Amino acid sequence: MIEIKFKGRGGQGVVVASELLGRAFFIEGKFPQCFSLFGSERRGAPVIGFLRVDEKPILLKCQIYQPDQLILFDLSLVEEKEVIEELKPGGTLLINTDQGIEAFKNWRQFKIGLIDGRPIARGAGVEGALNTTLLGAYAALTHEVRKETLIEVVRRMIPIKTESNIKALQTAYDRVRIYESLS
Amino acid sequence: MREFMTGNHAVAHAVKLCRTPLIAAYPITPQTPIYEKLSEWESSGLLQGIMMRTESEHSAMASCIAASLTGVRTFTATSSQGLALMHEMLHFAAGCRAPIVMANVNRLLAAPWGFWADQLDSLSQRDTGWIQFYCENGQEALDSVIQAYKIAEQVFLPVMICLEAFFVSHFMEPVEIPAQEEVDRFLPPLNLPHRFDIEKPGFLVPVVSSDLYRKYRQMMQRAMDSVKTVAAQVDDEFKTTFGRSYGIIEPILVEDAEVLLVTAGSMTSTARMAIQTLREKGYPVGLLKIRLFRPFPVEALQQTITGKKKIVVIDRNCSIGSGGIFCQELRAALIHSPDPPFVYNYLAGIGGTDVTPDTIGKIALDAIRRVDPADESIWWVDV
Amino acid sequence: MKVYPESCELLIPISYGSTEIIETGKWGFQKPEMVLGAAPCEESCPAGNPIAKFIHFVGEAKYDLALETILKENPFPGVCGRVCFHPCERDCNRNQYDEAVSINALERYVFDVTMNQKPLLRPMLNNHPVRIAIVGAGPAGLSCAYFLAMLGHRATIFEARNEPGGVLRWGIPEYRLPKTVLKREIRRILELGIELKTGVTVGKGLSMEALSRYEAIFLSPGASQSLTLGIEGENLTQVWRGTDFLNRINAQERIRPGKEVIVIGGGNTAMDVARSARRLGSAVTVAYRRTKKEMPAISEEIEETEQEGVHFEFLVQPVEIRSLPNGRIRVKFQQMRLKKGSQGKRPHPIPIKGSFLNMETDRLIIAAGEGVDLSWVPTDLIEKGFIKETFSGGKFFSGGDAVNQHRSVVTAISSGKRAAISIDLFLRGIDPEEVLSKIGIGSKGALSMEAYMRGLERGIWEGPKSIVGFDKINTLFFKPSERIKLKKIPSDQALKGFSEVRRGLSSGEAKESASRCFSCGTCNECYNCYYFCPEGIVSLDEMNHTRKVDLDHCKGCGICSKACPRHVIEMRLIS
Repeated sequence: MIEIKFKGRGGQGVVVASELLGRAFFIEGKFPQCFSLFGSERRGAPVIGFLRVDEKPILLKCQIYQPDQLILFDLSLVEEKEVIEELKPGGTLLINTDQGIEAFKNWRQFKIGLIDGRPIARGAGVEGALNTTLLGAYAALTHEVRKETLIEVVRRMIPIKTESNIKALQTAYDRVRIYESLS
Repeated sequence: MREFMTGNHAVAHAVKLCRTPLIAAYPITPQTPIYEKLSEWESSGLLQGIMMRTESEHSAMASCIAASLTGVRTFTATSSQGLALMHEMLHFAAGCRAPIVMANVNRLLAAPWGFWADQLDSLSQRDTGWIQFYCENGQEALDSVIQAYKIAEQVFLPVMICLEAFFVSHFMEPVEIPAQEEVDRFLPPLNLPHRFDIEKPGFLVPVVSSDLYRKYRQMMQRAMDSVKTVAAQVDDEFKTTFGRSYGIIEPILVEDAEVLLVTAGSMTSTARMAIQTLREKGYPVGLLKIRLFRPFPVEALQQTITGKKKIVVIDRNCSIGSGGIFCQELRAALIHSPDPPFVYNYLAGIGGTDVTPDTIGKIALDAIRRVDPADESIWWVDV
Repeated sequence: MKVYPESCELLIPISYGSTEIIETGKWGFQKPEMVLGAAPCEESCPAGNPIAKFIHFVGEAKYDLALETILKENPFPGVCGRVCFHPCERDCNRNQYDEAVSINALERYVFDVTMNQKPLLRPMLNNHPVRIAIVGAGPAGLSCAYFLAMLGHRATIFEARNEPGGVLRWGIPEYRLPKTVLKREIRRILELGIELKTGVTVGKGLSMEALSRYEAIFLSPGASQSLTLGIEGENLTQVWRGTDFLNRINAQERIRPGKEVIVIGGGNTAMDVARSARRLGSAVTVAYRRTKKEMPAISEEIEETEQEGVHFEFLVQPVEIRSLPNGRIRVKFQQMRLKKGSQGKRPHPIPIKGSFLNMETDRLIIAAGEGVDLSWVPTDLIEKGFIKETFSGGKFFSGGDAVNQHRSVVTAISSGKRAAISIDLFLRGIDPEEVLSKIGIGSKGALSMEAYMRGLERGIWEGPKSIVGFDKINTLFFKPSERIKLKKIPSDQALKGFSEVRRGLSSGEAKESASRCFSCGTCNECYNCYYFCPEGIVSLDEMNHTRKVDLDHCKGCGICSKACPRHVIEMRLIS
C-alpha cells in the first residue's frame, strides 16, 4: 500500500489532485481510497488531501500520518523538521518551487522531484490550480501511474480548459527535476 | 460495474436503482452531496422519481409519510440537526407503519457546532420505532439501502441507514454498482395497499383508547422483533443475487478469541486491520461488528459472545450520563448469560476524532491488562 | 412468519369511521345564532328600503332580484333613485370609514337596468275584499294603493287632475325626473288591480258623503297651492306662483317668464322654478331670507342650481312689489339678519331696521312654500291648516304633503305604507299602534312591509331588528375606497332643454359602488363564517342563501361571530 499526502492551499486544486490521481489508479485496476481533511472550506486556507492505493481493498478509515509520498503545493505551509518527521524513511517528495535542489539539502534522505509549477501552468493557459501540473511531475517522478492514464482522467473529469491542463501535465512531466535519495 | 465514488454518491446510486418515486429532503452537511446528486439526475432526466425540496427536515419526513401512505416507495436523507428536527415525524412514520427509507450521515450534534462523525444523532432516535443499520463503507451503504426497502416493505416499518460523516460519506473508494435489472429482480415494483383512498375516506392517526394504543404498540414491537429474521433472510437473498452479504452482526476471528472487540460503523473497517496485527503479536483478540442496531440482535449477540472473558465495546457516541450506547445495549443483552463476561466500554472517535489501527490496538491491550470489571466508560485519548 | 395482521386498517392507525358520533357541541356554553340586523341607512330611509340586500344583489348582477327586493318596501325606485334627499347616505356606516356608499345612484341603477322587465310581485290573497277609497294619486296615494294591493285589498283612487302622479307629475321638472320613468312606475303600481278615477274632485264630482261610504278612506290630496306672501303688489300679472309655473311647464305649455326673473324661496320648489326659468332663457336670481346653510332644498339641487348660473341673494325678504311703466316690476326687499335659533332649531331671520334693497325685474315667482286646499275637508279632520295625521278609531286615514310632516317624496311613500298597514289592521280589528311598534326599522319611523306580512303569516309580530352601528362592523375585511363621482351633462348643454341632468352609473361603476357596501346586519354570503370555522361545521346552502351550523358539533368558540364583517352572527349563551 502506498500512502500519499497532498498539502496546499484552498484554490490550488489539492483536493482535485488527490481525486484525479485516485481515479488514475482506479483505472489501472488498483484499489485507491481518497479523501481530504477539510477545515474551513475557503480559498487560501490550508488543505490536505489523502490518497491510499493498494492491490486489494483498503480497510483503513483514518487519516494518513506517515505518508510514503508527500506532494507540497505550497512550501510556506511546511516546516523543514515537520517533513522529516512525517515522511516515511525512503519516501518521495514532490515540491512545487522555483528554487534549486541546494535549497533542500536537509531533505536529501528522500527522493525529491522539483517542479516550478506556476509558470508551466500559466504557460499552458491554466490559472490558479496546479493540480494537473503537479500530477504530470508526479508521474515522471514515481512511475506509480502512467502519464496516459492521467491524461485520460483529465479528459474525463475536467471539462473546462481540458487541453490546457493536458499541456501543463505533459510539460511538467517533461520538466520535473528528479534527485534520488542520498542515503 | 465498479466505480470510484464517495459513500454519499453510493447512497444516491442505490436510491436511483430502487426507482424511488418520491424523494423529499432538505440539504445539510455532510449529507448534501446525496441531495445534490439526486437533484442533478432529476434535472437531467436520469432519475425516475421526483425530488421534493421541502422547507425543513420535519416537512421532508411529513411528505415522505404522506407519499408512503399512498403506496409508493420514498426516500429522504439527513444528518445531525436535521434528524433532530425530524424527531416528531419519525414517531409518526413508524406509528403509521410507513416503509420509508432514510440515509442518515452520522454527524455530531450541537453544541458546540461541528460537522464531524459521531453516531449520537441517530442513536438518539433509537426509540422512534425505526430500524437502524450502521455501515462501514460506501459499498455497504449502497447495498444496505437496497436491502432496507426489501425489509421495510415486508414489516411495514421505516429504515434508517447510518453512515458516518467523512469516513464513509466523503471517502472515495471503488464501489460495485449493481445492474439495474438485477436490482429490479431483487426489488420488484412496490405494491403497497393504498391507505389514502378517495373512494373510502379515512382519518389517519385518530384518537384511540389506551387499549387500542397498547395494541398498536404491541404490533409494532412484534414487527420490529421479526426484523432480526427478515433482515437476515434479505441479506441471504442479496448474497445470492449480488454476491455480497453483511449479516445483522458479523463475527471476525471470534471462535478462538478470548477478548472480543465490538464496533459499529466505519471503525469496524479499521479494527479489521488492528486485530490482524494483534493476532500477529499473539493476542487472542476477535472482532464483532454490530450492523443492525434496531431491533437489537440480542439472541445473535448472546450466541456469539458466550464463553468470552472480556468484551471491549468501542463507541463513537456518548449518552451523557450513561456512556457508550452500543455498550449499554450490549450489557443489557448479556445480563442472562451463564457466565457473563466483563464488558468494558471505550469512548473513541467521538466528534470525529481519528481512530487508527494503533488506537484500537492500544485499547485492546489496555483491556487485556485490566483485572477488574469497570462500569464506567473510559474516554480514550491516544498518547 | 406472520408479522402484520389481517388487514391494513389494523396495522396503521387509520379510522374509516366518523367522529360525528361525538357530540362536541354539548361542550359549549354558547351558540352562534344568525341574527339579521338593520343598517343605519335602512333605519334612516322613511320608506324602509332593504338597502343592504338590494345592493348585495346589484353586486351579484342579479338586478331583477334587486328590483323585487326594493319593491317589497318602496314602489318608486326609479323616482326615489332620482329625486330622493337620501338620508340613508348621511347615516351610512361607511361615512365613518371613508365615504358613504352611493345608495341613491344604485337604486336608480336598479330601476334603469330593469326598465323593460316585469318584476314578479306576490300580493297576498284576500277572500274578503272591501271597498277602500284614496283621494289623490300622488306618491302617498299611489303608495297606499300599492301596499293595500300587496295586502290583497282593492282600492279606488280619486284624482282631481287628468293624470296620476301628483307632485311627481306636475311639480318636479323633467330634467330631474323624466316622465317615462314616472309612467313606468305608475303603470307597475296600477297593474296590481287598482282602480284610478281621474278628473274627480271631492266636493264636486264626488260628495263627501259618497266618499264616507267606503270601508276605509285615505286622504292624500297633497299641497299644491303656493303660499302667498301677503304683501302689496302680490297680485300683479308679473308675479307668478311657483307651483302654477311648474304645472304649466309640466303640461307642455310654452311659456316665457321673461328676461330677468326673481324667485322667492329656498326650498326644492324654488330650485325647480329657478332652474326651469333658466332653461326658458331667463337670467334668474333666487332671493331667500336666510343663508345658504339654512336652505331646505337638497344640497345637490342647490349646487346644480348654482352651476347653471342662478344668482343667489341671501338674507332678503320681499316687502313690496311695484309695477314700472316699462312693464317691469320693482321689488323692495327688507334686509335680514339671523338670530340664533333656540333648542337646535334653525336660526330665525330678523329684519335689519331701515335696511332695504330694491331690484327691478321682468318676473317674480313665489316659491316660498305650498299650502293644502282644505275647502272640501270636514272641519273635524283639519288641524292648523293641515289634514290631521292620525284619527283615533275612525275609518279615515291621511298622509302625504297634506298632513303636517316633512315634505318629501319618500316621506309621502312612507305615509302611504303606514296608512295601508293601518287600514289592513283596522279592517282586521287589530290595534295598529302595538303592531306598528313591532314592524319598525329602528326608531326613526320607517316600517317594514316584509316584517308586517311575515307577522300576518305567522300570526305574531316579532320585535324590530336591532341597528348594526359602525362599532359592530369588522372593518379589517374592507379596503378604503373612493366613492364614485356621479357624471352629469355639462351645464351649458343642460340649459338647452329639459333633458335629465344626472347620468346614471355605468355597470362597472354600479358593481364597484355595490362592492363598497358593508352590508351591515345583512348576510351577503361572503363565506367568512364557513372559511374561519375551525370545526368545519358551517355548511352553505347556496340555493336558499343560508348558512347552517351543525350545532351538535359546534363548541361555541365564537370565531364565526368575530369573523363576520357585518355582525350577522351573535353568540348566545345556552341557558
